[in-house]
Amino acid sequence: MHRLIILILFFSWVSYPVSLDAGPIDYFDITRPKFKPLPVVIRMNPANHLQGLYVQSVFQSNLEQTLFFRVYEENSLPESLIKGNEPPAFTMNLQILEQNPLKFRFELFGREQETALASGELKEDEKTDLRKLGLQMANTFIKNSLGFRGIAQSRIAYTSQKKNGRKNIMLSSYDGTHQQRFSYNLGSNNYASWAFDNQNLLYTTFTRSKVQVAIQPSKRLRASILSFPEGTQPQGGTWSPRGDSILITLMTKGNSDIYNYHLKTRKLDRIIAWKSLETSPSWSKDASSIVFVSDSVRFQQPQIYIHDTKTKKTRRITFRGKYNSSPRWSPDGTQIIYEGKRKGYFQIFKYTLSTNRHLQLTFGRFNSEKPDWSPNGKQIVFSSNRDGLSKLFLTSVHGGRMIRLTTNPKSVIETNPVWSK
Amino acid sequence: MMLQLPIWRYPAVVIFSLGLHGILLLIIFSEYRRNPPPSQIEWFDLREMTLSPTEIPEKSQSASAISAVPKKQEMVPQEEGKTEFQTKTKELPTVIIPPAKTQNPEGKIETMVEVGKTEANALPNKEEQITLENVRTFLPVMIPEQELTERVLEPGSSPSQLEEITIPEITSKPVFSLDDVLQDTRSFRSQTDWDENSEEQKVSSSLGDLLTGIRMIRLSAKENKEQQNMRLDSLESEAYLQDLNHFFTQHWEVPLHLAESELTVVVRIRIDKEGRIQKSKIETSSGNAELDHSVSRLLKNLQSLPSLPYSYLGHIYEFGIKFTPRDLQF
Repeated sequence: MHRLIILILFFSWVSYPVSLDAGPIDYFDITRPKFKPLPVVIRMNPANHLQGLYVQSVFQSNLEQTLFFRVYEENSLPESLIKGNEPPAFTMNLQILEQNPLKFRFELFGREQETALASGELKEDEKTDLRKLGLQMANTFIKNSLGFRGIAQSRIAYTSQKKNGRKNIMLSSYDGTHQQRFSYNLGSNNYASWAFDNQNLLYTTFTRSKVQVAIQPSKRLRASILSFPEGTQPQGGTWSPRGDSILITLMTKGNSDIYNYHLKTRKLDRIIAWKSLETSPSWSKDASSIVFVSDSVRFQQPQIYIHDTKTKKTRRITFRGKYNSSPRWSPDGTQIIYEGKRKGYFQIFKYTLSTNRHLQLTFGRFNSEKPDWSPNGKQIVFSSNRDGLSKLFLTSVHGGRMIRLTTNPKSVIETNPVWSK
Repeated sequence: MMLQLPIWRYPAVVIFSLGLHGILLLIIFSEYRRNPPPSQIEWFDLREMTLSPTEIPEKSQSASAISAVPKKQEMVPQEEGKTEFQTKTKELPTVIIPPAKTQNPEGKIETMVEVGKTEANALPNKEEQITLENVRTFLPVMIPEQELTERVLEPGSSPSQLEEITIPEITSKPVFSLDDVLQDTRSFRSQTDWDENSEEQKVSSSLGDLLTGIRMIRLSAKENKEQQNMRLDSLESEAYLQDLNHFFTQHWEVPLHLAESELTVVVRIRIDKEGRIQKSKIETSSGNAELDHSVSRLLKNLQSLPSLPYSYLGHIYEFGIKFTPRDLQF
């Protein structure tokens, strides 16, 4: 019997390697590459045209703000591009056609391609200044190179507070070069929210006597105030996708619940009314689900839940950490970003609904809070006290480098950023 | 009647009980330290024993394989330093069988010992020993000592020269049966070893060795070894994947918009044992020009990969890599 086993094993040894030589090979999965921005070369003719240079600088700063690209002028190419080891991913050619008003032609080429990916003519007029030309060019570039929406013309609303001053809602351009005060009432204003059509902004006004919700058109400086029943105190709200209602958190007798406020009928529908505190509601884009925060499991240990408005079922999605809050739906409704407290510091996390995977996007011994998505879902804006006081930063949805958004003085606190849709 | 104790005494009883158990464990542990059980059994292999001529009869008594042989007939008396048997005892798989003697029709016994070879070489190999006919052939008819004369070949004489010993006609019966020999052969570990002088790589066929040290023995011819591609075993594969992951995290760069994508470029690479790339090609494109470019740029700039695990026996290794930029590193 032993001899039989020995013989079987022996012949299996002999036949095993022989059979593999003709068979398949090993395959290894490599899934962790290093990030590298795509090199873009910009050529302008004539190279030193003053107005053209301004348009080019706007184009360049907005393109690099996306973190996808690194733009080089033709006369300042790095060695790797000069030697031809690595041809630029894209080349943008600008040909100045006219001056005063400026008119130029642009052509976008891919790597080693002879036909242009995009081309066209842009002209300065009364409505379109040179800066807008640069922003348009950046959006066109992104749309035609990577295939998604450019966000150079989007805006970010946030709460700004000078030292010992009141809180105000501010608007910032995408590249942070243009700041504009938005709220002018005498109260302290906070918790801004963009309507899905970007026409209106909603924010909460705190005065000494009461708390109100203000709705203000994004292009006007006059707000309309929403009033609520006595004994209830609004604590911020967000717009519904259709813009006809707002989800609002109302505090009643020490308990905060979530309501849907219909703007036309002025009726309140109770959505979530648990015995615990429920806050920070946010609609998904298709208005089928609401994500919110509740400390129903343990007091003062908020966790994030998703409520299905059709089935009326609610499920919890965060289980790690004692403090998870500020959830926001991604524009396509497939992911949620939120802040979570880990080892004493708030960090930004991304949750994917299809995989139930939580990915930490920020790290470090400082707080990163109140995240919100960019309109194309490729970036995140959040506030961080990395440099001392809280400031606004951008990062990609995959994490990585943090870019400071604004250039306000150090004494100004910037919190609660919300990106236009 | 139940025992009523004040409530504070219950934990005291538990603590007291735990204490006693602890003391008991300490005693057991100290005993264990003082007299540890043998962790390894010492095995003796008869092959490693060199038996002096005077010891052989006594030692052989203890060997199970010769237990059936009467003492007075075990050994043929020989002069020290004269016979191959005495000097090559170490090499023998077994010491039980004296130099093979067969009776020819003329009443002569031929000993098949050749100069310059061990008796083990002279003996038939394993298969032959356990074959019925061969064993019958080599089983000696026991010869009375006083009637046996033997002449041993001197070094330098012809290897093919045979000893010729004249003996009287044998009338004695065999001392042990064929079944005994077969049974002893099975139970005797050293009997089952391969011939060490074989050209092939030695393969232990002992069942115990097979089970404790299972390892693929490659029996391919030497000249084909360099041409063959072998696969890593699971441990080697795991270790090498770690090396590759670490390596490509440093060298493979992709643009941001490809992060978390499920696009995959499949590459086939052939390397030598030190990791030098001999050949590489993109086997399957991802369909995305940027991802394909990132991989082709990587392959273009690479000259070597992490070296193969030391335990890998081949000289080349051909394998595939699936590049999927799922988790971007910043």
